[in-house]
Amino acid sequence: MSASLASLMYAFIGLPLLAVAGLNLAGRRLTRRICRPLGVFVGLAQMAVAVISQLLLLQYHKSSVSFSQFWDMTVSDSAAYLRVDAFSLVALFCIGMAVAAAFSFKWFDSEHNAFNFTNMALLLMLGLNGAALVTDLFSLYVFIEIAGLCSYTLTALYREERGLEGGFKQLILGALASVLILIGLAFIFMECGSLRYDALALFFSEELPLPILDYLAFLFLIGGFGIKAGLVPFHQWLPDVYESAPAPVSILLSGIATQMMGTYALIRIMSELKGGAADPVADAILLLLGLITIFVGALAALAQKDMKRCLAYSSISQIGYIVLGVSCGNAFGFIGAMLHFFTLTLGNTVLFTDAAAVDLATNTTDMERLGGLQKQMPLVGVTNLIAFLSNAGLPPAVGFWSKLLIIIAVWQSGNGFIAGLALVAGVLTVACCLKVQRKVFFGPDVEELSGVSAPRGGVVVSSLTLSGLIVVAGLLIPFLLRMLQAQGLF
Amino acid sequence: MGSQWLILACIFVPLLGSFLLPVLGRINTNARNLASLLFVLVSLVCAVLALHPAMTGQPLRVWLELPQGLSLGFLGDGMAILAAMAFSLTAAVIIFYSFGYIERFENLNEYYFMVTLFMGAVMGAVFSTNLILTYAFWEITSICCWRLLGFDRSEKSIRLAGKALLVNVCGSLLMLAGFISVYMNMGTFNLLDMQGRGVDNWLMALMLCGILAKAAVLPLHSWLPASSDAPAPVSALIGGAVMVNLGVYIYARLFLAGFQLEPVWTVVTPAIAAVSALISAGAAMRETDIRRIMAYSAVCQTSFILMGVSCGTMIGAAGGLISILMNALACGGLFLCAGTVERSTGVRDINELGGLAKNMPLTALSFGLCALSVMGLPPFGGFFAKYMLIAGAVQSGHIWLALLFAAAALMTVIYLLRVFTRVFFGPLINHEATERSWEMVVSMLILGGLTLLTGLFINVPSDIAVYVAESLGRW
Amino acid sequence: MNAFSSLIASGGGLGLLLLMVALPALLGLACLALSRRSYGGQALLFFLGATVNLILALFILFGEEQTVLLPWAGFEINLALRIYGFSRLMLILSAVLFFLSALYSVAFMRRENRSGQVFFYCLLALAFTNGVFLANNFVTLLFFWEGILAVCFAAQLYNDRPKVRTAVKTLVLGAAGDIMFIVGVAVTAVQSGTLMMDVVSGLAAEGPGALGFIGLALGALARACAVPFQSWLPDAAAEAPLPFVVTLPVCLERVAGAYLLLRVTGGFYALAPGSALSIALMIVGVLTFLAGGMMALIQRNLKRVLAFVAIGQAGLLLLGAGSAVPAGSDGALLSLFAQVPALMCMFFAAGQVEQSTGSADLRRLGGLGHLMPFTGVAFVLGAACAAGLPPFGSFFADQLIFSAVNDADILLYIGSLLGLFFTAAALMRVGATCFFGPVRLPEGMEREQVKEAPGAMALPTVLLAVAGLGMGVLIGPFSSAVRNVTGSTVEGWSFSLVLCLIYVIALLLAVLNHITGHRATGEALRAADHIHYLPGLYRVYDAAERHYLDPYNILMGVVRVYSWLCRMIDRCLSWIYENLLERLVDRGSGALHDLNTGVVNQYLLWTLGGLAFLVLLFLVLV
Repeated sequence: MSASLASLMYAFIGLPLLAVAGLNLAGRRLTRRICRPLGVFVGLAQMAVAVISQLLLLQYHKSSVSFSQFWDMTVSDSAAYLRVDAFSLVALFCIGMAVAAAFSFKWFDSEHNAFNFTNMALLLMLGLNGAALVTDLFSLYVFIEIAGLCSYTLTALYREERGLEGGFKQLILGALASVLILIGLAFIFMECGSLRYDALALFFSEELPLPILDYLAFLFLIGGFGIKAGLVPFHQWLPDVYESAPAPVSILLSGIATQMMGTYALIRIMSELKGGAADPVADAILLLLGLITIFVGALAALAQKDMKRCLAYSSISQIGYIVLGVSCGNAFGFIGAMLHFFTLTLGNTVLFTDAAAVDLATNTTDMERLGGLQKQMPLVGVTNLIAFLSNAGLPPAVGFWSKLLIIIAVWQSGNGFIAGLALVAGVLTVACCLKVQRKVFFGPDVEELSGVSAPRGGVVVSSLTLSGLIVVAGLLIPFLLRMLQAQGLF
Repeated sequence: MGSQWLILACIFVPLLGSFLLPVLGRINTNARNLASLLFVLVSLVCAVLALHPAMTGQPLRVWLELPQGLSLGFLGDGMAILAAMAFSLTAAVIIFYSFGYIERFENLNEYYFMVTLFMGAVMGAVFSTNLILTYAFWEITSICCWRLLGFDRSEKSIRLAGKALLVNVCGSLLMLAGFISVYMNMGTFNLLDMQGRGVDNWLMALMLCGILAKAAVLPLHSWLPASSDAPAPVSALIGGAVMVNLGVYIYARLFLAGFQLEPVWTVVTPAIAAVSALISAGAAMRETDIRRIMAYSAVCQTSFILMGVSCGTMIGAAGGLISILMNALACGGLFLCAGTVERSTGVRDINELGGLAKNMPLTALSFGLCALSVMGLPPFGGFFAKYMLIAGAVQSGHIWLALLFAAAALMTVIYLLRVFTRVFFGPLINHEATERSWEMVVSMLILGGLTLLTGLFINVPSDIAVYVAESLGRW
Repeated sequence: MNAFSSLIASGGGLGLLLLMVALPALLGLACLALSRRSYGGQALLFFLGATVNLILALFILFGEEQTVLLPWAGFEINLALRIYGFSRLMLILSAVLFFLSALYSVAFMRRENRSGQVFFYCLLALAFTNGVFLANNFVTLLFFWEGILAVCFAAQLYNDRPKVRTAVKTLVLGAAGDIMFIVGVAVTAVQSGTLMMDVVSGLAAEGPGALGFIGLALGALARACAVPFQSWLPDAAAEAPLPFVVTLPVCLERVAGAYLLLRVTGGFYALAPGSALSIALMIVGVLTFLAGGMMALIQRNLKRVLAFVAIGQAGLLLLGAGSAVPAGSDGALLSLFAQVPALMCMFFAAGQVEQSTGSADLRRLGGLGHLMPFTGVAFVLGAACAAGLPPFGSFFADQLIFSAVNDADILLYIGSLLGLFFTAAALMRVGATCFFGPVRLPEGMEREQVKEAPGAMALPTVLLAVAGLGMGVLIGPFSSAVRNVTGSTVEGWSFSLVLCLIYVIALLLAVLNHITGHRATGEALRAADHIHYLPGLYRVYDAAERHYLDPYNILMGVVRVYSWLCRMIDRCLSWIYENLLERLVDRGSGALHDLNTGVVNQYLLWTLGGLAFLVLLFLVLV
C-alpha cells in the first residue's frame, strides 16, 4: 500500500523534470506549439496527484508518508528522505494551480519567448515542489535557491527596460536573503550537528532555555525568509517586481513563488523545529512583524495609482496574516495559516489574472485611465470582486474562515488586543477592494474605453473556475473541519 | 426530520435562488422579476407555516454538529418568525413596487440578484443561532447593501455606497471581535448555550458597535441619509424597512434571548437611542429634501425600537418586537411614496412641491396612512407600538427616558405633518405630476392598508410578541 | 317598547355599548359613500344617526350598570367599556346636544358643499366621544381620545394654505397634549398596577404620581382647549365648516375634556384642596379665563369672539375642577351643563347671520335684530346665559365655582372676577353691534335679501337659548336629578349672599363700561377701545395681535432653533466620516507610498535597518 503511495509521490519530482527534458529534446516546430498546453497539463496533473494522495492519506489514516531513499545529504547515518504530509500536499496543490493559471492564456507574441518562459516556469515548479517535499533545512535552502534563480530570470525574461530593473532588484535582495539564511543554518548546524527536521525537533524540545547562538540563528532565518516572503521592513522589492514582471510571471510570483520561498519555509521552521512548543522570543518577533506587515501593506495599497502595485501591497498585507497565524503556535494557528496560504494563492492568482485580462483588453493597468469596465467585461469584474472579498476576509469566501481561525488562534495564545487590531485591519483591505472596484469596474464608464472588447479564452476560464473554487471552498469549510477532526489534527 | 425543511426553505430558497436570476434574466425579464418576487414570497409562506410550531412550544430546529463549538444551527422561535414575516412581507411589496419603478435603469439582472440575495441573507441572520453564522449573513447583507446603493453607477452614489459599506464592515468586525472574545470565555459560538450567562461590559460595547452601525443609530448613522439618492425601492428596502430593523432585531436576539446584561445597560443603550431619536428628528425637521427626511425619520423610528427592546421591561420588549413589524411597513411605505413623488415630479425639494393630492390622490392616501401610523395615531398599528414603548420606558423606572421619547414623538408628528401638508395639500405647483405605473400605486396602497389592518387586528402580532416576551423568562 | 329594552338589556352590555360606538361610525361611512347629488339621503342618514344615538343614550340612562371586556393587545390592554353614573350623564348630555346640532346642520348644509364629508366627520366624532365616555380601560380611553384628534385634523384638510395651516396647528397642539397623556397613563398604570379605570381611584398625587396627574390633566386640557393648547380653536372656528365646528370643538371635545378633568381631579387622583398641583391648575384656569375674555374683547370676527369666549369658559371649568372641593367640581359640572348649550346657541345664531348676510365680520354688520328677530332674541338669551346673568343656570354654577375659588386664594378670586368682567363686556359688545343699533349690511346686500332663518335652524337655536334659562329657574330639582344620577353624596349648596353681590356688581360694571364706551366712541363696535388702548394693556394686546403669545408659534420658534442645532451636529458627524477619516487615511498611505522610491540601495538600507531592529528587539525581549 505505502509502496504504491510512495511511487505516486515521485510524480511530483518526475513531472516537471520529464516535461523540461521532453521540451528541449523534441524538434523545434513541435515544441513551439505545444509548450503552453504542456504547461497547463503539468499544472493540472500535479493538482490531481495532490488531491489523490491526500485522499489516500485519509483512507489509510496516515498523517505523512516518506519515500525515496536515494536522496542522502547528511553525514549522519539516518538517511534523509522526502516526505509528504497534509500541509505539503496543500502547497503542492497550490503550485499546480498557479502554474496552470499562468499558462492558461496566450501572452507572449514571439514563439521564442514562450519557449523560454515554459522552460523557466517548469524549473521554478521543480524547485518549489522540492522545497515542499524535503525534510531537512539544507535541502530546503537548495530548492529555494533553484526557485529563486528561476524567478529572477523569469522577471527579466522580456528583456525590456522595466523587466530587467525588476529582475535586478529581485536578484540583489534574493542574494542578501540567501546569505542570511545560510548563516542561520550554519549556526544551527554548529549547535546541534544535524539539519534534519526530526533531529532538530528533538534537539530543541528538551534543551530549553536555548543557547544564545540558536536565538541568533532564528533571527537570521526569520530575516532571510522575511525578505523572501516580503514582510514589511523587507518588502520594498515586491511591488516593483510584480508591476514590472510580465503578466504570467506576476501570476506565478504572486500566486506561489513568494509564498513558497517565504511563508512556507517559515511555517515549516516554526512547526517542525519547535514541535509546537511556543518559544516566547521568536513568537513575539513574528507576531510584531506580522502585525506591522498587515497595517503597512493595507495602508500603502490605498495610495497606489497602478492596479498591479495596489494588488501587490494588498498581498503583502495578507502575508502578514499568515505570519500572525504561525507565530501563535497552536493547532488553530497552523490550520489557519495553512488555510490562509491556500486562500492567498487562490486570491492572488485570480486578482493578477484579472489584471492580466484588463491589461490584454486596454493594455494599461493605470487606474486613473480605467473605469466602468463592468459593462464590457462583467465576468472579470465579478471574479475580481469575489477574490478581493476573500482576501479581505468577508464571508462567504474561504478567506473569512481562514482569517477567523487565525484570529481565534492569536486570541487563544493570549494577546487578544492584537487579534482585535488585526481583525479590524480587514476594513483597510475592504477599502482597497472598493477603490479598485470603483476605479476599474464599478464606476461610471470612461468614453475611450467603450470600444474595449471582452477578453476571450483562457483568462476568463481560469479566473472563473478559481473564483468558483473560492466560493465553494468557503461553503465547504465546515465539512473540511469535520474531516480534520476525524484526522485528529483539530 | 419533521417540518424543519420549512426553516431551510425560508432561508435557502431566496439565497440560492438568487443565483438563478441573472441566467433567467437573459431568457425573459418578466420571468426573472416574478421569480425574485416568488422566492421572497416562499420565505414569507414558510415563516407563516412555521409560526404554529413556534407558538406551541417546540420551535423548529436545524442543527449541524461541528468541532470546537463551531456547530451551525437555525432556530425558528417566535421572535424570529415575527421578524421574518415582517421583513419578507415588506420586501415582497417593495420588489413588486420595483417592477414599475426600476425599468428605466440598466443592468437589472444585478439588481434582482442582489435584492433576492439580500433577503436570503436577512432570513439567514434572523434564524441563525450560531454567532459566526449570524456574522456571515450579516456581512453578506452589507455587501448586497453596497452593490444596491451604488446601483445607478453615478460617481456620487458609488462613493457614498462605499462609505456605507466601510461603516458597516467596521462595525461588524468590531462585533466579530466581541463574538470571538465571547467564544474565548464560553468556549462555544452557539447562542442557545449562552442564554442567561453574563457578559462583561467592554465586550458588550464591541457588539453594540456592530448593531449601532447596522441599525443606523446616531454615532454611526450618517451612511443612511447620505445614501438616500439610491433608487426608491433600494432605499426603502435598506434604509426604511429591512436592514435597519434587522440591526435592532439582532440586538433583541443577542441580549434579550441570549446574554444577561448588567442593569447599567438598560440605561446606556436607551440613552444612546434617545439621543439618536432626538437629533435625527431635529435634523428631519430642518431638511428640505423629501428623501432625506424619510431617511432621518427611519433613523428616528429605529432608535425608538432600540429603546423599547433595550429598556429591560417586558412590555417594552414586546412593544419593540411589534414596532419592528409596524416600522417595517410604515417606513417602507413612506420611502416608496417619497420615491413615487420624486419619480413623477422630478423634484425632491418639498418647497417646490405642493397640492399633489389633486392629481396623485392614491399616493397622498397611502402616504397619509403610513405617516399617521408612524405618528402613532389610532386606529393604526403605530399607536399600540408607541404606547407599549413609552409604557416600557416608564416601567423601567427611568421617567426621563419616557419624557425624552415623548419629545421625539412630538417632533415626529411635526416633521411628518410638515412634509404631508406641504407636499400633498395647498395650491397645486407641479401640474404635470401623475401617478405612473399601477404596480407602484398598488404596492403603496398595500403598505398603507397593512398599517391600518395591523392596527385594527393588533391582537395577531401582539399575541406573538407577548408569547415571546413571556417565554424569555427574564423579568 | 319594553320588549325592545329587555332584548337590549338581556343581550348584555356587549350589544348596546358596542352599538353606541360602532353605529355612528358606520352611518358616517354610509353618508360619505352617498354622492353629493342625493343630499336628502345623506341628511336622512345623519339625522337617523343622531336620533338612534339619543334613544340609546336614554336607554343607558335608565338601564342598569353593564360592562364589556374584550382582549386586545396583551399586557392588560383590552377593549373595556362600562356604564356607570358619571358616564351616563355625559352620554345623555352629548346625545341631546348632538341631536340639536344635527337638526341645525341638516338645514344649514343644504346650501353648502362637502356635506357628505362633514356629516361623516361629525358622526365619527360622536362615535369616538361615546367611546371616551364608555371606556373603562386607559388604553381604550387613549384610543378614542386620539381618535377625536385624528377626526378634528382630517376634517380641516382642504386645499387652500390657511386651512391646512390650521389643521397642522390643531394636530400638533393636540398631539403634544396626547403624548403627555400617554406618559400620564403609563405612570398611572405603574402607580396603580392596573389599566382598568374603575379600579384606579384615590392615587397620591405627589412624587412620581404627580407626573401621572400632570400627564392626565394635560391630556384633558388639550381637548378642553385650555391655555397651552388653545390657539387653534379661533382659527378653526373661523375657517372650518360651522356644523363641524359646533359639533366637535365647541360641544363634544369640551364635554369630553371636562369629563376627563373631573374624573382625574375627583376620581383617579386624590387631589388635596390646597396642594401645589391644585393651585397650579387653578392658575392655569384663571389665565385661560382672562386670556379668553380679554382676547374676545378685541376681535372683529363674530365667530372668533365666540371661540375666545369658549376658551374662557374652559378656564372657568378648570377653576372649578382644580379647586378639588366638592362644591367646586359640582359647580364645574353644572357650568358645563349651562355654558355648552349657550355657546352652541350663539354659534348657531352666528351661522344664521353668516349664511344670510354672507359675512361674519362685525365691521360690516349691524342692527340685524330688526331683520332677524328670532336669531336676535336667541343670541341675546345665549349671551346672557354665557355671561352668567342671575336667572340663568350658569349664574348658580358660577357661584359655586367662585365660592370655591374664594376659599382657595383671594388673588385667584379677583382674577376670575376680572375674567367675568371681560367676558360679559365682550358679549355685550358683540351683541350690541350685531343685533342692535342702525342696520348695516355688507356691500351689495339689500334689506330684503336678509331673511330670517328657516324653521329647522331657528328651532334648535331657540331651544338651546331657553335651556340655560330653564336650568336656572328649576336649579333645585335639576341639581338633585344630576346628583342621584352621578351618585355624589353632597346634599344642597349654600350660596353666600356677599359673593353673589360682588358677582352681580362685576356684571353691572361690565354693562356700565359698555354704555360709557358706546357713548364715548359713538358706535358699539369700538365700545371697548378704551380698555384696548390702556397704556400697559396695549402692549400685551399688540403682542397678542401679532401672534407672539400664540403657544404654537412659540413651539415652532423653539423647534426651528433646535432643528438648526441638530442639523449642525449631523453635518459635523458626516464631515468626520466624509473628510476627516478619508484625509487621515490618504495622508498615511501617501507617506508609506513615498517611502518606496524604487532605488535598490534604498531597499538594501531598509532591509539592513529592519535586521538591526530585529536584533534590538531580540535583545530587549530575551
